[in-house]
Amino acid sequence: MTLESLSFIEAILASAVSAGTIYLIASVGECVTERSGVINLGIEGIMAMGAITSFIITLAYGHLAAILAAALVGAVFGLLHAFLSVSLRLNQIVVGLAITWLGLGLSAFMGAPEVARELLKALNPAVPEYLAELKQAPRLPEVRVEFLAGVPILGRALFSQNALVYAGLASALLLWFILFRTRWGLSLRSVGENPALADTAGVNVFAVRYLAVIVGSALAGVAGAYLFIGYQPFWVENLTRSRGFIALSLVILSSWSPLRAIAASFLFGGVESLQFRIPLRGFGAETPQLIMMLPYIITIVTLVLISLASRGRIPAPAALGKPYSREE
Amino acid sequence: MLRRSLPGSLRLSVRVERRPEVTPRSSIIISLGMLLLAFLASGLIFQFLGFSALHIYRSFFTALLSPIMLEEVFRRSAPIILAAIGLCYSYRMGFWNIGAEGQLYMGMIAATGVVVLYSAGYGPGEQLLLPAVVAASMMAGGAWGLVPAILRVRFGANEIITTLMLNYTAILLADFLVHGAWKDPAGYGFAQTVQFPAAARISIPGVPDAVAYLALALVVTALTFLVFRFTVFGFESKIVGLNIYASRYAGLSIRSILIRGVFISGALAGLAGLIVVSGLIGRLRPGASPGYGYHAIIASMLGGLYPPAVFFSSILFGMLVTGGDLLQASLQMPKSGVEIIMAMIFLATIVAEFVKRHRLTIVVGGGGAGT
Repeated sequence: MTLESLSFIEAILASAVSAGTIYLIASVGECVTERSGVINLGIEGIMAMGAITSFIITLAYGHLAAILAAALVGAVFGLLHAFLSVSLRLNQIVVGLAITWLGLGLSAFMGAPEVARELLKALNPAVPEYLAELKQAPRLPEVRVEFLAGVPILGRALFSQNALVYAGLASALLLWFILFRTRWGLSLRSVGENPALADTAGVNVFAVRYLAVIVGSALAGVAGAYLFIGYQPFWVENLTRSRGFIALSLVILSSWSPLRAIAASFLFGGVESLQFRIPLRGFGAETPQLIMMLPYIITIVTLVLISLASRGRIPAPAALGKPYSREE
Repeated sequence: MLRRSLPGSLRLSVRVERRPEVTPRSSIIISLGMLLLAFLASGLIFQFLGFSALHIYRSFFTALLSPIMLEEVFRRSAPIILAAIGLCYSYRMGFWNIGAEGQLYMGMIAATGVVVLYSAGYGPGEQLLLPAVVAASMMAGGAWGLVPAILRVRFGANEIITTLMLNYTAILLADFLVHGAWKDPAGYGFAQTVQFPAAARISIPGVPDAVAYLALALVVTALTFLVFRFTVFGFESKIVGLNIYASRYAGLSIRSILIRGVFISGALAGLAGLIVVSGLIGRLRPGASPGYGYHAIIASMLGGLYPPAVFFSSILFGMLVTGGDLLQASLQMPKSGVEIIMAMIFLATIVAEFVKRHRLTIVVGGGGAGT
């Protein structure tokens, strides 16, 4: 293998991890939410809100505040979702779609130069207003893990990234551990499988579901922040481009396990980064639209393959999508 | 019965009880009340983001009620009505078709394909051009709907995700064509196709376009109303939506009913696409639809899947879309402001469902009532 092709592979893997982290953070959060029996179709809109929040807050107060604010905004949207779907027991699909709509509309509105400028001025008058009109923010800096980053092939992909990539991987490991190796996780999963039984055993079904939706939504907010400050720090309307919905299908692909979500996300990160590499090599340089279809078509194909592989018995949490009520 | 108490020194308890039946009249009143709340809530958001809500709404509605704008509202309502009526077929079967936008785009693409062939000297003669574009747009929209329907019945693939993915695919396909093979050579380099000839446009002689489109939408609404109420298919599709196990027990072929219903959904979205591309903008170009297929989703739910109500709720969305452009032009306010109003209407619609099914009583100071 020549040195040139080795560095090409390293570059591909690095960008697969970089793009895959968008999906990883969102789908790990959604794994937790769905394990409790609630499906959150709102993550697309929550990601958009996380992205716009990170844009404005980064300019006003810097990266750390931006990530925290995106998580907070995500949590607030999650609270709204939980109130409507858990307390009022409304149809989770419709609630999620409405939240996505609100997030997409509100983020587009806040990202418009005339609104972003005013928001920035209100938050921190010391920052020059024109920064908001440029629609850009400084990118998260790379944090190189000195020794390990030099390891051939995987070193650059895993140890020469920004802090949110490491945080995403850590959250996948941590949440997997919590879900499958602790009592908390057992309670959460029992709520998603058989809420009536969990209730009898003394688990507070409503509290668990609220928490699971809020945690998942906060992570979706962070995923949006990563999408902007960690991946593509230039604001355009509809920045998320259905990535939240792709993350939802990755949850199915990883059969509701945060650990498998790592592999699924990086796989899709690879597809996403190919989108930008194929045109560079000639094909589709003029009209990249066919290549841009790839993630959407591959998502559909993946859903079909999962069904074929599991022979129609997809191991979804048994109570997924069903509101719980003590009366019935 | 459920009891909840709010924390705090003042004892406030909210009693929530299930309501057995809701009369059509109170149902309409609840919906209208929630609609008003949606406008209020969006107004609060605008106010919070530094705009005067009162000023926005006043100029919004005065402008929309002028005769010229009213015509524009009706023109733009037509594709929303058609797509929303189409979605009723999917939703009453419990098929979560979020793909009207993609099906609409496929309708636009197919109709444009016929016109591109026609202007290159191939294809149908002038008399057959209109039937050809109508058939092409409806077949293409329907076929685009068949994909997720078949994937669902054959592989159990979640239709929410597949229809959403197909939306992007169709939009990108349209983009690809207008930037490449179908680009009008006489179009000064703009990414757009040739203009639709008069023979390819839906019109009634001596009548404004808006009225012709609205008449078509009205006919489709009325037919759908009759189909739902009086035909075997209308009955079967409702049964499929009510309880999939019971209908299997009754020996219905769920698959075939589902596939037929979703095909009709897609075909009507495709027809909506024809109106957009032949009438509203006259040619295919990027971003030809501002999201009519998405607006149709909320419109059909706001109308409770009841065709006559969906007709009017779609006109409300026609107003909002037209109003969005006004906001931009006259108030220097971003167009996406109306997306916020739409999202609030969506939320209000689903909360209205809760209000209709439950009775709320707030008891103040009811010591010990709530625990």
